[in-house]
Amino acid sequence: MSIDQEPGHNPDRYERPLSSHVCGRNVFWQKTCWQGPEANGKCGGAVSCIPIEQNGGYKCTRPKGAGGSCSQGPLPDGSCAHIKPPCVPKPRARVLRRRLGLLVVIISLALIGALSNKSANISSSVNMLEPGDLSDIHTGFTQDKGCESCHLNHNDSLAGWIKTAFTKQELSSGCLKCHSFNEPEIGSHNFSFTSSSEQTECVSCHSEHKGKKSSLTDVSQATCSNCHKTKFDNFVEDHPDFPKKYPSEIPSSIYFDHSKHISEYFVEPNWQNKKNTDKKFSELASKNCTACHEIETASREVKPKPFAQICANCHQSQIRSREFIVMAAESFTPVSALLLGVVEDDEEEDESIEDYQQFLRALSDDSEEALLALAEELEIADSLPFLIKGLNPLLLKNAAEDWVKADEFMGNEEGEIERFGWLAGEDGDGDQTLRYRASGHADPVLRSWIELLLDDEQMALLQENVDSEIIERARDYLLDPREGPGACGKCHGPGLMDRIQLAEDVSPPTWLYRGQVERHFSKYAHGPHIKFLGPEQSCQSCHKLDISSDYTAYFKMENRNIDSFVSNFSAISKEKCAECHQPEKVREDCVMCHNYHFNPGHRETVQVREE
Amino acid sequence: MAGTTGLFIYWLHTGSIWPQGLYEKILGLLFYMVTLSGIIGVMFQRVFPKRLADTGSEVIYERIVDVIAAIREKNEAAILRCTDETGKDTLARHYVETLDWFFLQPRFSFNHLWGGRKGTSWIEHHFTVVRRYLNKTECDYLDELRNYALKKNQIDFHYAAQGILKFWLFVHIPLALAMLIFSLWHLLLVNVYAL
Repeated sequence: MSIDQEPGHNPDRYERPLSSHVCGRNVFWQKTCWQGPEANGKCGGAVSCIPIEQNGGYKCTRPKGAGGSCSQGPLPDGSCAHIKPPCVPKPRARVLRRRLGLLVVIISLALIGALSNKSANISSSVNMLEPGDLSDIHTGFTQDKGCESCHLNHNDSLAGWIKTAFTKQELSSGCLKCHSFNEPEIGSHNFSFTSSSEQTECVSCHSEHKGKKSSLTDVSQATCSNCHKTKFDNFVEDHPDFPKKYPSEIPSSIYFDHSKHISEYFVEPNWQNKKNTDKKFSELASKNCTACHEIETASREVKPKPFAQICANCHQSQIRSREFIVMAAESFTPVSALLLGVVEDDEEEDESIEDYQQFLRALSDDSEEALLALAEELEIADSLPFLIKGLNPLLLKNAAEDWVKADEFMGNEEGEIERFGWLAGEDGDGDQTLRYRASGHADPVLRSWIELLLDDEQMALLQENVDSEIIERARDYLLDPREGPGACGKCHGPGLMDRIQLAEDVSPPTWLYRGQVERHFSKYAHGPHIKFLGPEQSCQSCHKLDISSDYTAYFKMENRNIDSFVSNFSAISKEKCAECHQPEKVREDCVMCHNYHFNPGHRETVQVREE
Repeated sequence: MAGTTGLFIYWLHTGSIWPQGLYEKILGLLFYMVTLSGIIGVMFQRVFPKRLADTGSEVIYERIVDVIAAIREKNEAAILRCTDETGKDTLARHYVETLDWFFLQPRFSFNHLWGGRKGTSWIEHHFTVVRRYLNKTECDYLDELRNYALKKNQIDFHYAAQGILKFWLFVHIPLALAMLIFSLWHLLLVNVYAL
């Protein structure tokens, strides 16, 4: 049953839903009139009808639905007899909603207009163009130019803004005023990939205006997925396998056989048969990697401690025992042959012998002048002071004087040898020689000679005067791992001689620890792992010593092939990492282990400002 | 459903629940308010039309004033007849002093929205309390008035339920309009400043 059909309801009555007003009597919950408000919103019910003229009189026109013609009929002047006070019609809800909506639009536009101020007239806290605080690191860089420092169209008019909205912005160019990367700087990963390379924008991954304490480098997994379409839900299942020999694909710059040391040299009773060994150190080193490796400064690599702390006990004596034979009274040495430019096959020739005698005579006249003249001729005069550092010219002169006369030089005082390292006279083989005894590790004279012979620029000059075979012979003599002076080549041979392809570059000769292959797009920190697992357990949980691997094979090869190198340790697989890096345990997102940028840095302008 | 999905898309878009700058805060607040009012509106549309249909009656919201006025007229006519017939004014006084308040306009709107029965209780109480002072003829008229009262109580529920459905639009539409204006400005700013 419909209430509309209850008494009082007139089904003929039209409610005029599109009219803008309703009867004002509604407000007082009184019965509304049948006429309703007029189209202009005024009351239409002040009279019951508008009588019409008929037969010289007036006739009531009230419709049946409103009660029909009234008994009184119209007044003599033709007006209705039923006059009511007019109401004040009220707007319909639809009209009120429209008005409210319009008001809201106006207020919104007014708010935007008033509070979107490009100048500094209003506080930044109420400026609608203020998108939030810059991160601490960038706050200082906008002091001079403000927003325009990065947003080049900031000061354009509204029309300019609308035009800008339909053109591509060069936002990254603002970032690159200060930040530098490997070329291509806005190429993906700042690297020229052979397969594909797409242009990227800094804002694709980094969002500013997230507050002073926000980190611009916090990048979500989803960000990587914008380009890397391969599905990657978790590390264990979706990450590619690590390289076969990971992480030791190349030999380090120092020759060090871990297996030999740990299983033989550090183990009793072998250590007791060696001189200058330290029982306590050997015991510690046989069990604990931290005896030799510096975990306090552990980063991607855990570098070994200095020579003096971990090697000197056993190897210092080897350095001092191998003398550097510079020249001999009656024959050529690799070094004297280099200085005089004599190839090995010509050493017995009369001409070569005569040249050598002449050189000795020159030394006996004035050793300093003779050496300098020779160095200038070979274009190594700048290096000469370092090559003969500590050599007493008188010692050389006196020795040369005796050798020219085919006499034996009786040698210098022992104290002098200890002080300067240079000796002349009879050596252990009974030959008359000029030789040098290294003072210890990193001896400056031996370093100078080796660096001279490994300096490509210097060698290019030298080769204009000397046959390259002579240079090779001198180099082989100095870096010979078994016989070489100072035993430098025994450990530093790989670092000085092996030219290994590292990413885009070839490794330069180095005395220092070189470590592993450069991995520009990955990162690893030993520190937190050591801290978490403890120094005793952490190393061996990942780095398993592989006694069966032939570490030395590569170094014995005449033509070394990097593919044949094997480390003392088993390769680390991703399953090892996945023991901890998995859901519900430790983070496993991309940026946990990978870098996006290649060689990130700052331009000079910023560096000056930072200073 | 689409509105709720929009909430997740918004979070995905902004990367946070609450933005930093003033403009984004206003836009974020508007978005949340539109979403919230939208969810409430959906709830209203799920609940009230069904409850209205369950009443078994229909009335156009705009006619409620006239329907109540008509009921009021019928009540008053019945009271006059009763007074004439019985010569007593007990029922008439009770109507003027008590029942008239109820028939004047819709009552107990909030209670109707929550599904309460306060209107019915009020009717039962005020019609029962006077019955003991009336004779049989007056009781017949009282029953007639009670029927009108129950009908009016039903109309009160229509008024409350249809009213809330209309009032909700007063909140949701202006908020949505404001959000639209701010979103357009946001779109322009983003294209000028960020893309």
